[in-house]
Amino acid sequence: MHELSLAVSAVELCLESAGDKKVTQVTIEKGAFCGVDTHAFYFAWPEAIKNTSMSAAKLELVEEIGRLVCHGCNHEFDSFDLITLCPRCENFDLGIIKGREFKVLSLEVEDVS
Amino acid sequence: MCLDCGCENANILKSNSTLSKMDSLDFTQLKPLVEKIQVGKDILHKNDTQALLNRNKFKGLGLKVFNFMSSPGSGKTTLLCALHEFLDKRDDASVVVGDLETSIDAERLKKHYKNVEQINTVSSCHLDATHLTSLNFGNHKGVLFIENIGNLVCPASFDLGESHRVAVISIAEGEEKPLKYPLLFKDADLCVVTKVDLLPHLDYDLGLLKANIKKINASMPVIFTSSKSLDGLKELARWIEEK
Repeated sequence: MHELSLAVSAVELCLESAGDKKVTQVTIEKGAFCGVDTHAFYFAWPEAIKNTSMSAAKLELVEEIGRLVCHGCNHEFDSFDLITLCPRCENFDLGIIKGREFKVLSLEVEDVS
Repeated sequence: MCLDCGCENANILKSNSTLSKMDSLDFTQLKPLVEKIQVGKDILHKNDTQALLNRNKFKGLGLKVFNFMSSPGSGKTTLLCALHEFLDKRDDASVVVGDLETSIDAERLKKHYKNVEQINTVSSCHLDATHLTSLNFGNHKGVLFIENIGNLVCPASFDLGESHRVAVISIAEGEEKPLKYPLLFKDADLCVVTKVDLLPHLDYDLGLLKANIKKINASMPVIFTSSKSLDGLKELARWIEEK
């Protein structure tokens, strides 16, 4: 359940990025292999924004497919699953090229001044 | 009906002049302009920045740092206690141990290691890079073991600035743990299997465990240990000293 501390970190990042504007919507990219549970993160979100200036901010998690490389035949392929076989040579020794990302993509903000 | 746009504000328009109509508008109710800001920053960037600072600090002090991660009860503390006697430069080894509460583990480790620091996270289920900023760095030299909080999920996401990651798994946990918690095993440099002295008493398929570890991290070495019979601890000490 590190999703709550990640949600708190995400809120800090949003507040820093928004300056004196009010954050109303947050879009976060979640890579397939970043180790974050979508349901747990949505569950943690209301707690993380509570008592902040973005306490009504809506959350959208965009799940991105990961990319793996086979250490046997160097074939690269897209996958949501880390435990899989190389579709070309059926080797299971795979490296992660992409999918660890967990980042705030964009915010919608309102001018409150 | 409004004669200008067809909206329902017919009464206002019919009964008031344009000027008084303006007066009646409540500008505070107008919807503010919405603006989109592109951020594109990783949520763990603060942790990763601090981890980099930690890594540079460790390097400057000549410290080799090993982050031991496992589920609760796998025997990390007992392993580190038993390992001490097998380290060539045991006086230069120290431990930082993380737990939510109590200093029980630190007290146990202090019977073996000169320098032991306990970090209590209270509510956090993992150590993050900022937890290490309060360390008494002057006390640590040679090898520093970090005993992370018992948890196979969250610690894997937080870089602490360590030199190497060690995944610990006990025989009592079943053969499928590496498949169920792949990220921790995928990123580890070594897997230590503990409590192998229990093998004669369990229906445990060691071959299946090895196969499951290989599925996640084919090149990762695996050392089988028992803190009771002391099997494998010499091999573990050599692995650490060669790093």
